[in-house]
Amino acid sequence: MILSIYHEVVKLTSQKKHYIMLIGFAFLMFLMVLVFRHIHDDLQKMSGNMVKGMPYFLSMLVNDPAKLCDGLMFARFSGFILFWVVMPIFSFMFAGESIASELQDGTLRVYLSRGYSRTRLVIAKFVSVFLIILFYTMVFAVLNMLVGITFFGLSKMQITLFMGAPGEVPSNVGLVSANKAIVSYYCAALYSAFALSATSSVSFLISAFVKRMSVAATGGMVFFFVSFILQFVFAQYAKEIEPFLITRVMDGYTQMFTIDAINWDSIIKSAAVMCLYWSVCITVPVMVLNIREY
Amino acid sequence: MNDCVLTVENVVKSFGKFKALDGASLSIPKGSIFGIIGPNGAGKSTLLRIVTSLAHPDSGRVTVNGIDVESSPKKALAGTGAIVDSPAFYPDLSARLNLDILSRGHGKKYRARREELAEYTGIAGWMNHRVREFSLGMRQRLAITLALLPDSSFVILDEPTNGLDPSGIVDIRNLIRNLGADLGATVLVTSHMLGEIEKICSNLAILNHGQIAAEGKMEDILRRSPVTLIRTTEPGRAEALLKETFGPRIISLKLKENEENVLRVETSDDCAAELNETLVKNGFSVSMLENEPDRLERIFLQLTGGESAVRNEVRS
Repeated sequence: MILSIYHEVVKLTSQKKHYIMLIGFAFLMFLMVLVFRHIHDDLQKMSGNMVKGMPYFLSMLVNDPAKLCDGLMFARFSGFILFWVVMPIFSFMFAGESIASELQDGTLRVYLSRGYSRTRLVIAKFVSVFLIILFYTMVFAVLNMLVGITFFGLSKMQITLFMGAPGEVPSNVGLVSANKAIVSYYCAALYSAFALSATSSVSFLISAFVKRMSVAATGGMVFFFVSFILQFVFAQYAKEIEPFLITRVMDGYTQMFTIDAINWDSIIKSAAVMCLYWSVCITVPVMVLNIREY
Repeated sequence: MNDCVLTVENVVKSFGKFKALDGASLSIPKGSIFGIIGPNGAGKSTLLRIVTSLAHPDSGRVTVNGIDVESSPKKALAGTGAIVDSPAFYPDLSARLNLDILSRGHGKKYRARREELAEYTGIAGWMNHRVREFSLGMRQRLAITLALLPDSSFVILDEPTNGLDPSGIVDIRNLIRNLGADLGATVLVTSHMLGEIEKICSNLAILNHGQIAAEGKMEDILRRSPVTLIRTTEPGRAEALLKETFGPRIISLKLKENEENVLRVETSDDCAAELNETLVKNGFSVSMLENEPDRLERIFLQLTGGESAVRNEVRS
């Protein structure tokens, strides 16, 4: 199995779309630095307007708000776009590529003509897609933070964000140490990698049925955006299915931005839904590959 | 049966109402280079797909080295390397990585065999190049190397000379022909190029409408209703003499079109030597006596009904 996974990773990493990913990431960083510089400058102009009797963290916000708008805050802001927009697209591409492109090129036929286990092949492909997503998520998370610190420095205290249940408006604001914030940032990135794996598994499932990776990737994206619209636009009409929406699972990573108030109940529920996606999106391709003739 | 690498017994495979294979049976002896020919839609690809477990038969049985392909595909195909359809590779990976991934080979012994085979098939200098840079001929060589890895003794090649230039065809032909002698491999090859099959294969099966129309050693099949071309003086008199002497053994005897003084004699058995002897003894001068070329093509057209189809086309 390890050999199979290694081979699948080698195949995935040989593709030119990695350059597109890196260019896309660099472009995102460039835009985010431009935007964040404006926010930073605006906050600096507000400095010194001290209000008496204000709690410490709020007074700090008002006295020197630019200090809170540092590299880690940049990483958390751009991480939102990275984990919600850029990485899902790349994940759909990799997962959609997995089976469909081999069907399209004919390499799957060469492989299967040797009587190798089709179940093992599907699992190896799924694991390799996850490993690639995990690798890019973590590498981009590191680069994202490094870019932020390089341009905006790192404050000792960090403002907490996104408290409360996923999708809710922050109900509380506080300060945590930079160390705690960094740990929570990487936990969020790690969670995102798992959530992205569950999200992209829809493309993986479709890729077992179609011969074109573009169809599988687009199918996954459509599923993702429909889920997004249901959760955030028509939430009141989709209460029954809301816990199972993939965007709801993705949203769970925001819980990690504050260590002090992680909603473990929500995380566990999200993990259960992730497992459901993984199970369905591995089992169906296994069945398809074992039944289908090539 | 034990000397057979592949045995196909009464295999039936339908796609809706269309029967791609209709009780096809054949057996491939160990060490042979076995050719399968047939018109388009005869069932060649379907048969190869069933043999390689890419498709499942409706009924019938396929065994490789005595192991049932349907019930234990991995075990049955352990020593089999197949290239069904055109050779497909990962274009952005090197030839070496392609071989490793598609053959799932690993270990020191495998690596030694891989390099040895690359040397044998003439791609040793290209092992680090990406497959994208390979010509079609090089891809075919790579496909043959792949089929022999990790430790295959039974190689299935589907149209291996398709799309190659004449020198490429000769190279691949020689390579396939030598596989048995040099590596002890049994080769199953399909092709539309009948001349190539005739030159490469020791055994042959002709597939038509999903059934085996003929199967056996190449020489035995070619011996069926052999045609001899004889250039002699006074062909009219020679024709009468031969008809009288050989009687029913002669199936047809006529002057060959567009050739001067050449008789085309189709006989029920191979009797070229006797024909020559009779003519010489009766004072005829025989300046040429040879088997008609494209014998396989003629037999193929006879067995598959292609000849009558061509005639009907000409008439209409």
